[in-house]
Amino acid sequence: MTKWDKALIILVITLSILAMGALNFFVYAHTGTTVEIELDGKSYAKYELAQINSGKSIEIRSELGYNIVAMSKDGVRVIDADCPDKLDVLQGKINKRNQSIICLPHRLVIRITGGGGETDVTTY
Amino acid sequence: MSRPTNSAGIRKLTTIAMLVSLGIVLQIVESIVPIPVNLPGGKLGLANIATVIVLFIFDWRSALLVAVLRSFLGSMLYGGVSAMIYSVSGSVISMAVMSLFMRFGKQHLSLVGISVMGSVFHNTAQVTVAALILNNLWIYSYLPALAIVACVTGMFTGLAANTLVKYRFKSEK
Repeated sequence: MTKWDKALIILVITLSILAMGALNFFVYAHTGTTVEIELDGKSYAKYELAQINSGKSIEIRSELGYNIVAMSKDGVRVIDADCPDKLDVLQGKINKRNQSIICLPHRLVIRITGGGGETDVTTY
Repeated sequence: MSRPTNSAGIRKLTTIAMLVSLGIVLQIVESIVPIPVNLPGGKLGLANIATVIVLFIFDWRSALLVAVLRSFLGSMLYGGVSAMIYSVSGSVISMAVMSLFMRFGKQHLSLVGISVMGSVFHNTAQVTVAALILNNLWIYSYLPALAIVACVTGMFTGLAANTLVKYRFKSEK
């Protein structure tokens, strides 16, 4: 391992940490209000978190498999799925605007939108 | 690749075939070994060792052959068709980036740095494919975290490849 190797690794890690910091600071700064679910690149369902009284769970089933999505006032998470690695379950609960849970094998994207400050990155 | 007629050509062919099978085995092994990172796409990338070594001892054409064959056959055996597009695109882009770094930075970088860049661009390619399939650019927000994981895993594969090249393949050059 040469000093150039180390410099390259440090450069990549520094850039990544800066990008993660920027994401947390600017993009995930506000709590969202709406859950948008997309399946295979198309809009599937939309829920307002404020309108969910107690826990609500829905099952999203496609020819690729199923995911069970649990929603409450304070966020959304995937509680069960039949994808091989269950990364969507591991990602836990999200509630900040622009955060998302993605299940690649089932082509499922759950994203939080709405609420918070006046600038919305999605409009760019 | 043309049909080899001399012993050097046959030696190259068998070395490449051996490294393709090494890559496939490593790909299967790493899908069994769990990695404690709950990120889509975060994995060890052990199979990259095969591509790095071929790139080091032969040329980019052989490395492209190994990258495509390894990921294609590996996902056929284990992983399935939907994983194949991620695997093939990732390993081809990673090979291309590594061959550029190998060509222009060989006097400064060891296989560690080259393999780290390969891993980072492997993930970049996979994130790009995911963004295209899901029609959602937000997937790029996973890239910084994935790049950090790639630095660590790329370092391990690079060190392994360094060691292997040092002890086994020195005579081939």
